[in-house]
Amino acid sequence: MLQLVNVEVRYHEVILVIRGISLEVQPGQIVSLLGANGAGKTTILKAISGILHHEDGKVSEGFVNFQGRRIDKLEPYATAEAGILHVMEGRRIFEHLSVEENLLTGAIMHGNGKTHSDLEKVYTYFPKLASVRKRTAGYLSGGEQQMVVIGRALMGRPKLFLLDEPSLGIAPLLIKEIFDILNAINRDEGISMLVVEQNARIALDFSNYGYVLENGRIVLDGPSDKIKQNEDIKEFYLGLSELGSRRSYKDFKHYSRRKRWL
Amino acid sequence: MENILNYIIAGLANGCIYSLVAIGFVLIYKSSGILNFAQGTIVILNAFVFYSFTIQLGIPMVIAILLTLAFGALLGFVIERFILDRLIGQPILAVIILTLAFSEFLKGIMNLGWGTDILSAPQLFPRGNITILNIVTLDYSRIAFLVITFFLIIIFAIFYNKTKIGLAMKATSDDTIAAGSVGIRVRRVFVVTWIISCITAAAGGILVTNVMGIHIQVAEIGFKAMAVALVGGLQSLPGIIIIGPAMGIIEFLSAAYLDPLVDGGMRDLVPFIILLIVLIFRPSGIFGWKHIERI
Amino acid sequence: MWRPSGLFHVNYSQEIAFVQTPFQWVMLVLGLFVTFALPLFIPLDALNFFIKAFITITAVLGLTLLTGNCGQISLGHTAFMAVGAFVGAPLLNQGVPLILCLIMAGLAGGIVGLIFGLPALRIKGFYLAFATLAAFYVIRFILIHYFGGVVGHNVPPPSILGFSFNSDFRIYYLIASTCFAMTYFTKNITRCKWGRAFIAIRDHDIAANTLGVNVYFYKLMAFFIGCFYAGVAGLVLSIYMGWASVDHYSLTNCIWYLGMIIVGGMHSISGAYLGVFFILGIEEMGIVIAPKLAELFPQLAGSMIGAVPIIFVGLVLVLFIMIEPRGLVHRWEIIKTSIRIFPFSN
Repeated sequence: MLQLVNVEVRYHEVILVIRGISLEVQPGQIVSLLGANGAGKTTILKAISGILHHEDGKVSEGFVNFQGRRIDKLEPYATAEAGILHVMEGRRIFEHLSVEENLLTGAIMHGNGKTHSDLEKVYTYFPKLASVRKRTAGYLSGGEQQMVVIGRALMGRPKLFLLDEPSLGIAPLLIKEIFDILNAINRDEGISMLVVEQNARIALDFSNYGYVLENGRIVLDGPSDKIKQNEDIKEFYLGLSELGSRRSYKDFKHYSRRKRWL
Repeated sequence: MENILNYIIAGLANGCIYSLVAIGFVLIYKSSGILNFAQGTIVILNAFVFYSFTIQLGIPMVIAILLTLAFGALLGFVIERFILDRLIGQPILAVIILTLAFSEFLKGIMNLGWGTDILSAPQLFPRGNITILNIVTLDYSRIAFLVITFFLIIIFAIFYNKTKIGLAMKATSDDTIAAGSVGIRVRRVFVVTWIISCITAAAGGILVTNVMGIHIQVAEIGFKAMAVALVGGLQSLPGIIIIGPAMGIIEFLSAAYLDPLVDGGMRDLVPFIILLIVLIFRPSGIFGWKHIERI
Repeated sequence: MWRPSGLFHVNYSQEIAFVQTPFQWVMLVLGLFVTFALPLFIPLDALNFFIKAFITITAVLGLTLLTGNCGQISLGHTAFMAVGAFVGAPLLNQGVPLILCLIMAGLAGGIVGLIFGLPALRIKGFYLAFATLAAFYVIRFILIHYFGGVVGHNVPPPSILGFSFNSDFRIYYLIASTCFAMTYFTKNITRCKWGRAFIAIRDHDIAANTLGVNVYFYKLMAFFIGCFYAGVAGLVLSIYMGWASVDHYSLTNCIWYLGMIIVGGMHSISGAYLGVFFILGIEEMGIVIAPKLAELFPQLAGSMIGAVPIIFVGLVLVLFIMIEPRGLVHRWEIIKTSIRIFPFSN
């Protein structure tokens, strides 16, 4: 469905951020991208959705294919029309619009026909939103805003969701709720998802397949269960070194040396 | 007493036009972050075009009005396509000077095309006036101003709040990139914004020159409307709709009662004085959003 | 500028030195010599052009400091010039010495600029630009109503130590010297602590504040200094015109001045010189071409002479900002670099 083949991304034509990445999302699959800050996770999503063009960035090598069509030169609205909806980091809602208006913006690119039923669908997935539909979105809590953003993307009838840190700044209980809903959306609507997360445990529980990124390169990939078993992932992403035992900082240097993958 | 009421009504009528013109560039500012200093010149250019259509070419009034609005729309489209494209992301000074230089360029063109005399605009409304209860005297053109701008603002409000493209405009003005990511064609929204802005300018031009005559100096109405927009708060359309008439009234009252003290000219000065005072005490305007800046 | 590769500064005083290489000394002396010998060789028309250019440069240098270096946009610059002229002209009439008059004109412009710069403490960007535009109209109103602005003041030819500046030829020397003195002053400001504070404020005023720059003080000082230049230039212009009237200080001129600093390249002194000569050259071209166009289109002849220069300059500015928003100096740096590293440039 979505294929990145040997993609390189540069900002301002000189700063090389992504150094040749290949990944794939199958129909109906949930794929997670893990990595530390600055590894290039967000940039990959921006390269797919075309937002890169607004930040003076460019896919300088390789290509992005979506359903057999090359999309790395497309503007964000065109990828959205093709069925890729990017839920950006930091809950980019339209603050001065009401919740319902926010949701309706997602349907602007489609005809009027099914807008109403789509809206109902969003409200069944996110019953919380139905009760605040007239409220100005800027005054909602973080979790509700995240729901608005996901609901807005859902209004665009996506085939693929690009989710950028859906758990950022949200209470743990709400995180679980949101991921449960996302799971339900994936199951019922058959929407594939590519998730970027700092919270590796949630991401690996949620996804079927995972990629680990470091310094703009993929250093590890495999089915999520397998990745969870990987010693290094346990050590550095899940924080599970020899369960229960206290960590000795004497060995700290040794760990950081071991973290070099390539 | 009668006088005061008359001044207030006249000011109200004039102020509505400030609101109308101000809506034009506030829309542009909201969607693309560009404050168009050439708006006043565009207003008067449309008035000149209207003059040519009616007086010079003898086209019937209604068709001429429609043609002028169409010209305004075309102008907006051309400006967006050829100039705005390069402007987004440029430093503010470059934007300001570009719009100002463009405005001077247009003024030069108008100077060539229509000369520097004050042209009398074609009569839109019958002359004469009605007196209500021997207190207020209203001439027809003032009433027409009030009614027309009122209707235009209502139409505009409906368009902005109820239609899909209005929703797209609101979304774009909130967050351009997020709007793109949900499939809104941002460039198309910009084009529509400019077209609407220039159409309001055309409507304002046709109306205002009907009482003031057509002359390049009338372009300063753009600056007055800008003062209205800044006092109201650049992001707030309701603020502008309120402040416009208020400014008009203050202007007429000060012209009536302060002019004898300073031998004339207060009318053109008051909006700027009010603006300077408001900006010192409420930098984001009376109804504007507080701008939070992070380092 | 003009420093070959391999030549480095080894201490701070070299870094901030006014003239850095022997070649620059040669250029400086040569430049001064050419400027002062110029009137002997060129016709009166060309001389008038240079007089206008040097007056404009004096004014534009103020804007270079205020807008280019400190980032405070001022659309009221010509109004501050008018203030200078309207304070200086009566003083000249009463026989006050010229130097004193120039200083008084500068101070008057500066103090009025300081007052109307007050909004800059709370606003910036478009808001500030419009506040200064409002200031332009307010000052103009005051000058017209309380200082006889439309009719204006007669300005007698001033004299220093008995040498009377009573012809264009002589006034040229007065104006060129003023301009160079102001240039030297500008250069000194940009290389001292104040200049660095201005640049810090332009790049980010809040960040500058956290680094210990007193933003309020320096913003007001930028207005004071920038408008000081305006005051001086305004008086010099009225001396050249022999008359001080608000009509000499129009908004159009102010727009051209700001255009000049953009065309030149915002924050450098050489940029101010380049921009002024470029835009004035365009304007002059319009003035020359206008009568010829008037012959071609006789039905438009009446307004041709007034309109064509404005159309020319307006169009050039629009195109220039669209194509090369970083100015001639930027382009010049690129050319210079590619010459210096020839044949390795692309």
